[in-house]
Amino acid sequence: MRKEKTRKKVSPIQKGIYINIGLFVLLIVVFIIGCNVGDYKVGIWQTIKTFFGKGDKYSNLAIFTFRLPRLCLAILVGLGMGMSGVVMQDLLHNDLASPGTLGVSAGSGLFVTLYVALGGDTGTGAILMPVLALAGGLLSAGIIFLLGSKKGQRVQPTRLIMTGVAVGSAYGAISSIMTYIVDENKMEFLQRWQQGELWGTQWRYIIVFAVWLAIFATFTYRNSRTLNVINTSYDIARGLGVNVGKQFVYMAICAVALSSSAVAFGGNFFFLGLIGPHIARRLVGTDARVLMPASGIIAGIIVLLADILVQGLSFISGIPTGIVITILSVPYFLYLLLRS
Amino acid sequence: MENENSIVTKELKIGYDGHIIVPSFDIELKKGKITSIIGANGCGKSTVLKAIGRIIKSESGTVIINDTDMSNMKNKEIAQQMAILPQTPTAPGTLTCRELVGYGRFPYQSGFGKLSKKDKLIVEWALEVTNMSEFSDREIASLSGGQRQRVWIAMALAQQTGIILLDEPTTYLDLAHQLEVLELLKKLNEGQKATIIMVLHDLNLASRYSDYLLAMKSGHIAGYGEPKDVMTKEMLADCFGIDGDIVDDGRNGKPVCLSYDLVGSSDNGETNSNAAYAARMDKLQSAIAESEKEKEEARQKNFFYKTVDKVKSCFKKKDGDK
Repeated sequence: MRKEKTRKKVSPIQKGIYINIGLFVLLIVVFIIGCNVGDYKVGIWQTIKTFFGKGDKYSNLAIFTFRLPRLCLAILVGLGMGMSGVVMQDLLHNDLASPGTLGVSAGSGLFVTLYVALGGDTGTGAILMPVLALAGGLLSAGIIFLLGSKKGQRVQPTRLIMTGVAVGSAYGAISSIMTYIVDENKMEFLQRWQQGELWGTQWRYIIVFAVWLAIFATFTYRNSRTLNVINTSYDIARGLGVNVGKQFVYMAICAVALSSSAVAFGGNFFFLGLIGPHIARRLVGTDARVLMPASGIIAGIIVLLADILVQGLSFISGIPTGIVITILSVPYFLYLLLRS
Repeated sequence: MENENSIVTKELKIGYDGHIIVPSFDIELKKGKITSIIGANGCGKSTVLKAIGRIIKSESGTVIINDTDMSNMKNKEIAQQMAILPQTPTAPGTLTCRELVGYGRFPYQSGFGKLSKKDKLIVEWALEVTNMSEFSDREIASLSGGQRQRVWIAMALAQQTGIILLDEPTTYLDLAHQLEVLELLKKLNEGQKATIIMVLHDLNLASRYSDYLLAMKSGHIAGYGEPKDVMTKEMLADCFGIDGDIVDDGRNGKPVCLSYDLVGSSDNGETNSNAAYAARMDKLQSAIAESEKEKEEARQKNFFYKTVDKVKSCFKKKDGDK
């Protein structure tokens, strides 16, 4: 006799939570692999032992001093960019919106570049740099918003994105000019940073970054249901009692804050805020409550993987992580374009 | 005594970008009735509906919902008393019907709260009333036009409001599905005592399903009352510029517009405007012929074309030689 399977139907949100847990486990796995990769071979077992305080001198040094900060930074950058991308896409109802395409990252980048070029010290700038990046990102978002929306008319997402691409390129150009008028040391730093380089690998940066992300991620996540409703359409959201204008500005500021800290410490990862939400959307659907964490974790995994490649493959060792991410993401986007 | 009006507007002035569309709008819409707003394209009927539903801001004036001035109410409070469905609403296609209908509970939730048991039961009820229960786990992208409209109505129902505003709920639907949607609204009106206010393009359907008709012409009220009083030959000429024949529908006794023409086109014989029209067309035709002639002349004078023509004629001669 056939056994009757009474499978309880899983609701989309439950499914999303399971996928999130799965992604988190994957992140941990990739993280541990990351601890192993480098010039000094530690070994998985030794890595885990080291984490529990039973490592030897060399493994302690390799993991705690060199690898752990870098890997933590990679995850934080991914979380910031991934979550920011989701918020921007949901606010503008467009899958092409992201900190990169909207020119927000470029605005943040310009301010950080100016800070470095005008003699600012990256060592003492732990707190100042994300704040400057936020100011630059907000200014950029404001300018793009003013240029991209006609007075008295409603927000036109496509127009905003087109403006963002244009204004972002202009910011990028100014930043590039800046790199040529500074001295050689700074020039190399800025050039690598503009390609996306995990440079802020000191614990004090990472702590500032983590606290910053935690604050703004909480602000954003608290309103994820509102974001869901806005993502249907502005009219529907108004009908359901959302103050769309106020929420739009609030969520936009949160999104810029999330991405700007990532830009300040990790450099300009153009594709990250686009590809994280994209993959996440295919896995967990549109509910922001599960989409935001999923997108952040996926983007984190991508940065980790890219960093592992840079550290592990001798022929590309030393190139900025951002370039690896771009090289990895372009085929994915072409594949998406060909499919649709 | 309970007020018999659910929505009252006073001197409502609505416009976009300094351009006034509706200068002053005063109306009292009856509680528990179906009212349809009709009028030609651009007469401001959707604008009025959106202003009442606060999708667009009115420049001045007041809207009173169930005896309370809307400007003194919180957004969510309004959303608990009045639902509005825009024309052809959109949502991400991957949402399931149940998720979308769940959004209707938004005005009752606070913070990061999950749907309560009551919320979930109301969602199931809304899906049941609209006959969408069997599709509740389907993604909305996979629904037909009629089903999609029903799921949106279900979302509005989940809001549990006494008032539902709809902007052309029958757009893009075939005849049977138009009737289906309107029958559903009528059922809600009768069963839940819902006040339904909608913009409808189809006059005959508006007349058939509405307790009251509100005819509009260029931002003003041109007529308001029961269908038999509003749906008249004069109104059709005034609001729509058509010359129609109104008869009583044998099935339900409501007035219907049976056959119609543009005003003025029925009187035979050359009218002045027709003569002027013919003259203008003649003039344009001759101007087009003239321009072709000019082009040809210019071509003959042009050095380049002269050379080309010469070469061409040489080849022709050669061909002739063979």
